[in-house]
Amino acid sequence: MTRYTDQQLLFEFRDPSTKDAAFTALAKKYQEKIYWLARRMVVSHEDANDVAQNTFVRIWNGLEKFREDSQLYTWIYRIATNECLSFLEQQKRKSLASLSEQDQERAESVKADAHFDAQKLEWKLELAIQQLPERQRLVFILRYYQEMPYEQMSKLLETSEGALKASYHHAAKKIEQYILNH
Amino acid sequence: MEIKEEIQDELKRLIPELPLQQQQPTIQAPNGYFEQLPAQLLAIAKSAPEKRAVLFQLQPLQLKYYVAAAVTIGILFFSFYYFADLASGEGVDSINQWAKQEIKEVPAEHISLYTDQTSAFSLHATAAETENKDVALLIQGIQQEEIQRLLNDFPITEMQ
Repeated sequence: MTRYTDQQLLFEFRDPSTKDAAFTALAKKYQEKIYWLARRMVVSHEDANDVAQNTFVRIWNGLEKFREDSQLYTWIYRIATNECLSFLEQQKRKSLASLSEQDQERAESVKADAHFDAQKLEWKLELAIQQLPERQRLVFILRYYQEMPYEQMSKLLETSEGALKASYHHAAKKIEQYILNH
Repeated sequence: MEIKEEIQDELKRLIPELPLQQQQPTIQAPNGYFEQLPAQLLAIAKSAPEKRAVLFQLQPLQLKYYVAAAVTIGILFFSFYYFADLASGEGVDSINQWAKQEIKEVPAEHISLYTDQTSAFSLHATAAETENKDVALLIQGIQQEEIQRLLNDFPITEMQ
């Protein structure tokens, strides 16, 4: 079922007799991408799980009416990124901590991981990402971890490719600076 | 150029210190998480209430408020229109026009009779100021015996 194309999944989802199976196949196809995007944006597994669940509930509710103006892949990613940003926005409103303190809290969550090793470059990168502003963090994660082309990202975030390249460039320079200083 | 190579080339230029590909995964998901997730997601999605895009949905209680608001606004508009007319004089004029029309339909002799009989009261405030001709007008048409009965009931000294 996971070999099915997005078109086939969409077709089967619209048929009541194959709707559940199509949704399960769609979840299998996209769950890891959505989970890892959410995990790197919100850091904790529990929060990432909440974001992933909300994303798939929205997919379930909206897929039947999906107009195919954009690719299914782009639509799913758009829901996921919106859920991530909404989650972070809610956290900001709930928290009494300042923004820099919230960045610090996320970094502490990264350090709390059982496999954390401060000497390894990969972990320094994880910490550096948490220091980035939300939008730059999102662009960097989509590009570096999700290997998304700028053209696709442009459609997803409704931002020009030039602006995205500039954002990625700034993010990379901040990360480089962090790695050199730590 | 493949997207992977493109990203690696880009990173090589931007952050030479960074590994081009992660040697080992850093953050990990709990064991077995992705095997169970699709079934969980299906169960959650099917039980979650659908968030429909509501264009305009009125609850019964809300409907009452909207009706009350509409009636109030209607009264306010009517009042404003009516009193605005009065203030401009157009409302008064229309009432005057109506009154004139109605009065025209009353026969002249009825008007004359009415004004003649009431002139004593309209022109004079007290009985002391009432003139003899007014008294004559007042008692005009009253039977003699009725006047006599009145005088018997109320002696002239009391009336003065």
